[in-house]
This record gives sequence, structure tokens and C-alpha cells, in this order.
Amino acid sequence: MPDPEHIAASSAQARPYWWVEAWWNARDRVVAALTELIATVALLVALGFIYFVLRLMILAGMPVDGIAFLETVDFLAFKAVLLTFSIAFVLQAILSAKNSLNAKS
Amino acid sequence: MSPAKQSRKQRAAAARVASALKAPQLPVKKDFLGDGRARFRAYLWAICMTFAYGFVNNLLLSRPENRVNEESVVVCAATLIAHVFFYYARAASANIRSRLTERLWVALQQLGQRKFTRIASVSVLASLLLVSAIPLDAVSASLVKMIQNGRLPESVAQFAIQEVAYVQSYKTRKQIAATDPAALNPVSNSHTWQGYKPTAAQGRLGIVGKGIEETKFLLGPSAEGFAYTHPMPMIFSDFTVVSLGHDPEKPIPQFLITTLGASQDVVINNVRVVGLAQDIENLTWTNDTFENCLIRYHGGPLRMANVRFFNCTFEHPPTVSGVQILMDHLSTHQGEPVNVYFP
Repeated sequence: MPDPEHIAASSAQARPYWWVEAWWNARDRVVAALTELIATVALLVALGFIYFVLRLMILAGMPVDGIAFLETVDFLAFKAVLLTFSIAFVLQAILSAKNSLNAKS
Repeated sequence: MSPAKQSRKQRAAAARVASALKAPQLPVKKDFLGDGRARFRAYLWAICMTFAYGFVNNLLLSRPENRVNEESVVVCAATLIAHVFFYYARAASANIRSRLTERLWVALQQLGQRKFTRIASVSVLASLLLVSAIPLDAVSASLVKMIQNGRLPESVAQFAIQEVAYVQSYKTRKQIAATDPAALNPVSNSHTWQGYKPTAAQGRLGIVGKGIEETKFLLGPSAEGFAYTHPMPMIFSDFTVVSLGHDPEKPIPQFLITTLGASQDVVINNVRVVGLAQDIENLTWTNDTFENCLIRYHGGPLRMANVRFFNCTFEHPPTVSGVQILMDHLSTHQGEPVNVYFP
């Protein structure tokens, strides 16, 4: 029975640009994931900007009680977005791995 | 060509094509990772559910934040997993919920395809990143400090106020003595206190408040006056003195008592005096206000710039004609800023 390390080495020698090929085959998925990542960051930054504006309004002399509620709501929305996309990326990684295994078998 | 005139082979070929068209198409294999709409729907639901859970529990029910945070993770994960599960498990049905997300998805796709939207999005994102790069806590802390303390330590701020007051009094002298060059000579040079030179550590003697509105001194009926002046550089700046009344058998309390000596290097700047008496001569007054005061003047040296009198009474010796003219002027121009120089 051939040694597994020997098989892996010979396979890598036979296909030196396997990672280019792998990326090329999955490029749509990679682009979609990157787009989602950018959208997530944009959404989080927008919510952070709202928080910043609210803090500035407090500094400018607006009553703290009314704005504290809005700040909490903004913070909750921030947490919801962060949680959703964090879990979604983990879930996508799991699904992607499962698909790869199914395709090989 | 009518069907009757077709050959047998042609009729057979047409039947094969028709059957192929009528045959049910093979179901396409579902892929959550490749279906943008499904992912979008799942994200939307997960965000809404997590936010709603946090809102209800944290804000409405006031539950502890740590517990709500932990439970929110579970809610979010459960929502996403449920969406993935149902995506693979059940056939698509066009209910109201899916139609709504479908329309939102189409709108987002259309927006994303427009060049203007792309440029605007990139610009907004860049500016947001730029603004968010500033640490919020540091900015708010420094803003608060700047607003509250004027960014200066208290001793430095006080010294700066004194210096401003001194410059103002000097400018005042320059302005009101334009016709008399002798007024430009520092008064302290001709005085026995000429050796006195205030330093930054010492500052001038006197009282410096935080402003007319912020610093208020109230004088009770038993008080004879607010402060004594001396024949040396002094500063009284940025406060209000209000009399709460006085004993009718005693004289009206004085704001600054000059019996120990006075000097035109005693600068009273940005002070509001209410209901007190004051001998105004031999002092330098800048940006001050007198309300319901008794003002005494006996013809001595006087320097005033931007001083206002409201409802004041003026007391002066009847024999000095120049003083008479000045007092008449002050009493008839109450409320107006007055600049006076009497050497």
C-alpha cells in the first residue's frame, strides 16, 4: 500500500497550481462572500456613525434621557447585525465544507 | 403545411419534441450558498429576530444585559439554522413573507446595478470609515473637557483672564486718553508702589470669577462692603455682586471700599454690581454694569470703558462744574455704554 504522504507529494507535483484552479472554480462563491463581508462592514459602520451622532447630540446639550433610549436601540441593532453575520459566516463555512466532501465522495 | 400532409417521420419527430416539452423538468439541486435571495431572506430574519428579542427583553422587560446577550446568540443561530434547514427541506411556496423579501431583493439588485448608486455607496462608505476611525470615547471626553474647562488648567486660565483684563484696561486708557498723551504713562510708575511687579506665580491681588452668570456673590444686610482696594495693581473680574438689602439706619454698603487707598491699576473688568454704592474715582472700570446703585464721584481721576448704568442714582459735590456735566451725562444716558477719561 503506497504511503499517503507520497501520494500527496506526487499529486502536488502533478498539479502545482491546484490552488489557482480551486479558486477559479469557486470564484463566484468567493466574490459573493466578499460582497457580503463589505456590506456587513458598511452596515456596522453606519450604525456606529448613528451612535457617534447621538453622542454628539448629547454633548451639544440635548437631554440625555431621550437619547439614551435611541443609543440602546442603536446598540441592539449593531449587536444583531454583528451576531447574524458572524454566525452566518460560520454556517456558510460548514455548508461549504459539507458540499466539498459530498462532491469528492 | 397541414399535419395531414406531413410524412410519417416528420410526425414522429414532432411528437418527440412535444413530449419532451411536456415532460416534467428535473428538479434543480438546491444550494443555499449559491442562492443569494435565500441568504438575504435568512439574514433579514435573523437580524429582525435578534433585534426584537433584545429590544423586548432588555428595554421593555429590563432583564440583565448579560443574560439577554447570551440568549440573543442562541436566537440568532437558531433562526439562521432553521432557515437553512427549511430551505433544503421544503418546497418553495410563494407566500406573503417570501414575496416581500423577493421584492426587497429585486430592489437591492436594481439599486446595485446603477452606476450612481455604486459611486454614492463607495463615497458614503469611505466617509463613514473615515469618521469612525476617530475613537469615540476619546473624542467625547476631550469635547467635554474642552467645554467644561476651556482646555486650560484653572491657574493658567485665571492668569490668562488677568492678562486679558490688563490688556483691556491698557487699551481703554489708550482710547480714552487719545487727547492726553500723559495718560499712556503707567500709573504705578508715579506711585509709591512702583517697585511692585506682578509675576505669573503671584498674579494680581483680587477676585476672578467664572463669569457674570456663573459666579454670584450675595451681600447680606449687615455687610459694609464687598472688598477693600489698596494702592497697588489689583483685579476684580467676571462675577456679580448683589445686595440683599441693608439696614436703613446705616449707609448703603459699598462694592469696593477705597478708604485704604485706590489706584488706576485697580482694574474692575466684566463685573455686574446690583444695589450697592460705589465711589468710582481713581479706579479703572471696563465692561461693567451697575444696576440700582448709588454712584459717587468727587472729581478725581476716572477711567471707564464700556460701562453701563441702569436705574442708578448719582451723587456729586454741586460746586465742581465738570463733574456736574459728567453726572448729568451719565444719568441721562442710562443703559448706554459709557467711555470716560478724567485725568
